[in-house]
Formats: sequence, structure tokens, C-alpha cells
Amino acid sequence: MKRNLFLLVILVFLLALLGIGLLQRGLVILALPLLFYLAAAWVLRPAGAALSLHRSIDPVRAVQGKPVTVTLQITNVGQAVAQFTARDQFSRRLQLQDGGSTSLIAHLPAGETLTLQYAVTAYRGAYQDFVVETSAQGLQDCFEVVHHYETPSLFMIHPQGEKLKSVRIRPAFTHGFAGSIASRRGGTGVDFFTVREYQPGDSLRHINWKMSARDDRRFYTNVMEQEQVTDVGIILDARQRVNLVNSRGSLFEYGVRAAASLAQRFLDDGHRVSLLVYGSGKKRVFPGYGKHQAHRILDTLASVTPIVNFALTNFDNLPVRFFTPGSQIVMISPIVMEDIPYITKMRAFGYEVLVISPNPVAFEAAENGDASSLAYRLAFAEREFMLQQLRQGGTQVINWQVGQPLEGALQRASFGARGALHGQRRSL
Amino acid sequence: MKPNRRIKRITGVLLVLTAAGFAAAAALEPLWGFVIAAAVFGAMRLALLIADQHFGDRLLFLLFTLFSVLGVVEGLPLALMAGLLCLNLAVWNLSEFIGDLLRFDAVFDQRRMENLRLRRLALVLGGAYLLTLLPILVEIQLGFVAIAVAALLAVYLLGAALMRLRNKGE
Repeated sequence: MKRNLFLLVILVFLLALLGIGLLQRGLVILALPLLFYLAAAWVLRPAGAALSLHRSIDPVRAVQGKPVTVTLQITNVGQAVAQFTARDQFSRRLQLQDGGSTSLIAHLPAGETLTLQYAVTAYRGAYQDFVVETSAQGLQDCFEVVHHYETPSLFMIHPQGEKLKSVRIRPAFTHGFAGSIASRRGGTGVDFFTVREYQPGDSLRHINWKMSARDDRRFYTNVMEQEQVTDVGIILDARQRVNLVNSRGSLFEYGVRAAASLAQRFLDDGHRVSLLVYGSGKKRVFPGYGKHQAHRILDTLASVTPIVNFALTNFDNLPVRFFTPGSQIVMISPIVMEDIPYITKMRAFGYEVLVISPNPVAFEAAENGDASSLAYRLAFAEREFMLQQLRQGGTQVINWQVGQPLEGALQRASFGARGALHGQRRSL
Repeated sequence: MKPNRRIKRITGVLLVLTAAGFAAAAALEPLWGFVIAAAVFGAMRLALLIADQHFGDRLLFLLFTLFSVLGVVEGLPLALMAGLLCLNLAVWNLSEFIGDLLRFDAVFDQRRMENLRLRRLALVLGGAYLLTLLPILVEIQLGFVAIAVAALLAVYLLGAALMRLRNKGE
């Protein structure tokens, strides 16, 4: 029922009363057109609409910032509706792209289908709540029948990662399948591994002629290093205590993007990847390969948020056994001093640990623009000391300035390690 | 969504007719204040219609209804006042329709909707006007008691109708 109806009823009532009160029959007669209009509205009032709604979302998984097309089809399975309106309502976190229609008005004959189509972009997360408000209206604008239809349709907005080139990792344990990790085992591969005595069946192309020339009885064969796939466990630190938020965003967001980029890279390289989000609980994705695993990991990353959980303020309860013994662990965490013993313990358990540490000091310094002040210099020094302790424990550490691409940080760390190795060789 | 020009033009013409009708009827008496008010509010309503602004539709409808009431009280021709009230109702209905068209992103089969509404409106308001003409043409003499009974009945019926509508709305 609409306001117009009340207005007209009150007008009729007032005109009749005024006419009787002033003994003006003209005023009573003036109420008649309004009365007739009301009566017509009552007789022709809408009975409501029997509808069938179908919603489709394309794609159901998208990267943050990419538009998602929502299509809503409304079919009238009942009688014709003189004037029909529909409005699609959704979360305020979804942003409508220009040019889309979320509401419509139409004459809806029986059996006809109306289609609404629009595109939205969203911040990473899982979205599913859509409500369609429909209304069948009379042409006198006095009566309407409103219905709300809940049409949940799940779609995921994944964090926007960056495209990474191959990441250099060297775990102790590898699988039997061919991959990209040098496995410290002889076999077919690209890199030279060792030399052994020639055995019947060895390819003549692999004979080491120089060494064989020195020995007048035996031949020697070059053995290449096998490249295999491995298990990679990604730990994303979601503890609220290590997260920083300023006007440029949240440090945790960079961690989420880094985790997404690394997971995608490792899966593209053929590795078996698992994920553990530690801090707001222990969300985990069990190890797996391929595209479906990428979906599982990115779906999990889409909905993680840093929350205070007093049971998980440090790495005491880190379920290290979740990862395959001897595998590669990539930890994405800003790191605080108390974490160092736990990371060192992981090394002691035989895991190869790579820590990618978004630099919280640089993050804050960039916000305030005074990185050269004494306070910041002390904070940088303290952090460098902490990371140095980790490195001494055998952990590979990448100190990531979040304003710069992760790819650059990984490459620098890779070249830095190689440079250090060359330096050691030279000093030997 | 922008409404069709046609529906706006029809509404505009009806509006001009309504305002001009009030002004002309008042000028015959002559009630110059009434003429000026009708012209000013008519122009305002037309400007709002052209600018696709529909926030004052209800208020302007009430103002023009008030003009009809004043016209009857001042002794202007009743048939003319009833006709202008019907036109006023038509303008209000079409303005609300245009407002609805503007409020929604997509309009399907607009021409058909417009035709349906115009046809229905013409039928309803034509019937309403004819119904109004009947008691103007046929005068019935009623005593005080009959009028009082009719008034009480009307009050009772309106009250009951209102209560029923309110309950249905809740």
C-alpha cells in the first residue's frame, strides 16, 4: 500500500466533511472523482507476481579489481503484471561499474523473461548475498505488492598477486617427478652433477672425453643433476600484533598478495603446495597440485583477515608437522624478536625455511616520510640485527620493502646469495 | 533511465491545460490572486517536469486540489472545477510515472507501458468525470436527517476502509 492511497482517502474524507460542514454540496461532489479513482485503483489492484529468478555470475572466481558480470533473469510464471519493478540489492563492498543496470521497470506479460546485467568490482573476499526486491504495482499508484527474494550466488574475489619468475628454493626432500628443483641426485637434467665410470647403455654423448683420455683403460660418463618437484608449505602470518595499518593500507594485505603470487608460481612449477594461515585461527589447505589447488589456496586467501587470537600470539602452536618432513617452508611474516627461536626450531626439524618479511619499519617510515630520523635508524638497525640472527640460524631471509615489487626482492636475494657464495669461494 | 519525450509532452500539455483552466476560470470572476497563484504554481510544476525533478509532485497536486476547493467555495462553475480536478489527477499520475521511469536503470517495453497507462487513465478519469456530472445535472433535495445519516455512513465506511487497509499494510 502506498502513501498516495492514504492521501486520496484523507482528501475524500476531508472534502465530504467540509462539504457537509459548510453546507456546500459542490465540495461533496468534488470528492466523487477522487472516490471513483480510488475505487478503480481498488478494483484493478495487482494480485502479485509469480516469478522464477535465475542468477548467473561470470567468472565465479576473479582477481581483485577485475569486473565480475552478474546476470539476473526474471521470468513471470503467473499472470501478466501491469507495472513491474525489480531492484537487485547487494553488499556495499561491491562497487558497480558504469553502464550496468541493477533495477528495472516494465510491463510484464505472462511467460516473459526480463534480464538485468551489470558488472561489479570488489575487494578480495567471498560474496554471495543478493536480494531482489520486486514489486507489482497498480497503474493508479495506490497499491503494490512487494516481495523480497534471496538469491545467494557465491563468487570469490582473489587477492591480486604479481607474476613471479621462478623462485630459487633448495629443499632437502624432493619427489620422484620431474620438476624445476635441483634434487642433489644424478640422472637426466641440465646441470652437471658428477662423473662416474662408463656403463654399457650410457649415451656416447655424455662421455667425458677429457677424463677418459687421462685413463687408458676406462671411460667416464658425465652425470647430470635431476630436477624434480618438491613440497612447498606457505605460512602466512595473520597475527594482529604484527600487522600495521596506515593510510596506504594494511601490511597484512601485502602478505596476502605475496602468498597468492608465490602459491601460483610454485604450482605453475609443478610443486605440491600447501597453505597455513596462522594467527586468526589455523586455516589450512592440505598439499596438492595444479589448478584446483590454486583455487583452493586463493579461495582461502580471499577471506583471511588478521584477528586477535590470544592463543596464537606467537608461534608456540605452529603445527609444523602439517608439512612434509624435509620440505621447503616459505613463511610470510613481518617477524618479531620472539619468533626467532621457533623459526630456528623448524630448521632443526630439517625444513628448508625461506622467510619473506614485509618490512614494517619501512612501511611506517614511508607513511611519515622521515626515514632518516634517529628513531627510524634505530628501528632499522634493530630489525636488521633480528634478521641477521635468523640468517645465522640457516634461514634464508628476504627483507621486503612492500612499496617495491616482490619479484625484485626475490631476484636481489637470489643474486645476493650467489654473490656471497662467490665471495666465500674467493676467500677460500 | 530517461523517459520518452512523448509522455513528458502529454503531461506538459495536461498541466498547461489545468493551470490555464484555473487561471481562466478565476479571471472570469475576477479573482486576480487566484489567477496569479494558478499561473505561478503551474509554471513551477512545468519547470520541475522539464527538469525531470519529481520531488514536489504530491505537494503541487494538493495545491491544485486546494484551488478546486477554493473555486467551488468562490462559486466558480462546479463542472469546470471537477474537470480541472480530474486533469490535476492525471498530471499527478503521469508525473509519478515519469518519476518511476527516472528512478530505474532499465525500462523494458516503455511504449507499451505508456500506452497502457494512458488508456487506463483516460478510462478511469473519464468515468470519474461522468460520475461527477450526474449529481451536477440531477439535483436531489435531501432533508437534514438524510444528510446527517449519509455523512455518518460515509464516516463509518471511510473509517472501516482505512482500518482494513492499514491492517493489510501491516
